[in-house]
Amino acid sequence: MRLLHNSHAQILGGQRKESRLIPSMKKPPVLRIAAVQLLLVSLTSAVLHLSGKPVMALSVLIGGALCALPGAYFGRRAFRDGGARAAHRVVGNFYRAESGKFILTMAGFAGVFVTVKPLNAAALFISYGLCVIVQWILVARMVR
Amino acid sequence: MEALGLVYIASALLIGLGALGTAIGFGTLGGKLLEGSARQPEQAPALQGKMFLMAGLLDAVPMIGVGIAMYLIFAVAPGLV
Repeated sequence: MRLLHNSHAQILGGQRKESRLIPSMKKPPVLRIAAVQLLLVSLTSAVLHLSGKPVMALSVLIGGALCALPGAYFGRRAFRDGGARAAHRVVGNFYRAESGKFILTMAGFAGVFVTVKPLNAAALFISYGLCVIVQWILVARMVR
Repeated sequence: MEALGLVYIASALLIGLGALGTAIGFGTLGGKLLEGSARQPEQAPALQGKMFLMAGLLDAVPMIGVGIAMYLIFAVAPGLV
């Protein structure tokens, strides 16, 4: 893990103390995860489209996008702050990020079911579920 | 008409219980992060990364529930009217 040394010295109890080494937060590549997800669903969608299933191809693409885009928003919003001193802000950001993701997902699904017709709902949900699994695998590799 | 009402009740339960489960999970997760960061500040970045992983696991099932609820409301219910 990368270590950063705080350059400013703390003055505590009249004594000058050097602050200890604090590990820096390496922000996770959330946009890269979303890009990988979108790439995979785009490829699958293209294959389905070329094999003569345009409705299924569109449904797969939309399902992947509905998983990847709110996930990217969550990652960007949740990792604005990092470190032990900002722990309260980290938790607040996580709450806001989760609420935003919930609203985005709900609005996305509602918008898709109202506007996109014809739609293969089974393909959309399967694509969404597979995208979630891809996200778990990528994040697990990243955190390890 | 009765079936339509049941569809709306099912959607409300899907969204409401999903949100409740996520809220409880995130409350526990956030509380443990604060506790862990307070005990071992040097571990805070690692804990935050692991929280990201757990958050992804935690909210996946409720999100699928929300998707199914939206399907029931906007695709199934109009066919029952």
